[in-house]
Amino acid sequence: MDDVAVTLTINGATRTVRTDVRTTLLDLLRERLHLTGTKKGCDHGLCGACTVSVDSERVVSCLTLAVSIDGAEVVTVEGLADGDDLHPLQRAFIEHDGFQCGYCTSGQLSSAHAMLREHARGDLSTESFTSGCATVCSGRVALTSAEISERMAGNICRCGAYANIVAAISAVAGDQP
Amino acid sequence: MDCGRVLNPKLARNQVMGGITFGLGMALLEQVPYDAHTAQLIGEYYVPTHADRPEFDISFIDGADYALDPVGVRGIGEIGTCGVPAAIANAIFHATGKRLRDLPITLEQLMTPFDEGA
Repeated sequence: MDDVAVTLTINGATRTVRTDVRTTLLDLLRERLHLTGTKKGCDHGLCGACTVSVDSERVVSCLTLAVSIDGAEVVTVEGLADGDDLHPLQRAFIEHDGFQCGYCTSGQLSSAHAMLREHARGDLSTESFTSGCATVCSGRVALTSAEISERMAGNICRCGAYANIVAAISAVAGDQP
Repeated sequence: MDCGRVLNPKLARNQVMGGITFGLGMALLEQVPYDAHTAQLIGEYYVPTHADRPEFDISFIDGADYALDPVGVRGIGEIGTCGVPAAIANAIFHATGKRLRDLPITLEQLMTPFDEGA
C-alpha cells in the first residue's frame, strides 16, 4: 500500500506523518509518534484501554484508521495534564486509588474526560431512563454512581478497581457546575 | 477479611474489591465458548465491567499473624475471590431451587427445565 500523508493535531501540536493506509490511530500514536501513554490492550475494540478523543469525542484508537481522521484534533492521556499540573481527573484517580496495575488507567482517564463533556451537553445513557420522564426530557441527568458506571462500561479494568474509578470521577463531576 | 495486619488499608480494600469482582466474573461470565466438534471459538470471553460491579461492604479483622512472618501480614492478592462464586451459586439455589455446579452460571443453564427433587 502506498504511504499517505496524514495531518493530525495531537495534544495541541500539529504533526504530519506519512503512513500506510492500514495504520490504526493507536499504532500511529505509539509506534510512530512514541506517545506510549495510550495502551494496546485487546487491539480489537473490546477493552477500552486505547481510548483517546478525536475532535473531543472518545474513540477506541485501535479501530480508528489514522487516514480516516485526517485533519482531526486528537487528545491522548499525555494531553490531559497542563505541564506538571495534573488534570483534576488524574489527581482524583490518585486520591481515590482508582487503579491497581494501571494498564487501563490512560483509557479510563481519556474516556472519563470525554464522558464528562458528553454528560455536560445532555447526552443520555440507558441508566438515565431509570430516573423518570421529567429528568430525561430536561436532559439534566444527575451523574450518579450508576450513571457513571453505565457510561464507563466500555472500559474494562481486570484488577477490579471499578468502585474507586467511579469514586474518582464522581469527585471531579461534583466539583463541576 | 482476615489477612493478618493491614499495612495499607486503601490498597488492601482495593485488592479485596478486585478479588470479589474476579469471583463475580468466575460465577457469572467468564468462559471460553468453543464448539466441541471443531474446537472453534463460538463467542467472546466476557469479564466484569463497570456496569457489573456490585456495591462493596469490606472490613478487616486486622490482627497481626506472627506465625507466618515477623511483620504479621498475610498475602491478600486475589484472596477476596474465595467464596464469591459459592455465595452466588447458593443465592441462585435459594432463589430458584436449582443447584448448578458448573461455572459460569448462565441464563441458558437457569432456563433449562429441571426436576425440583433432583
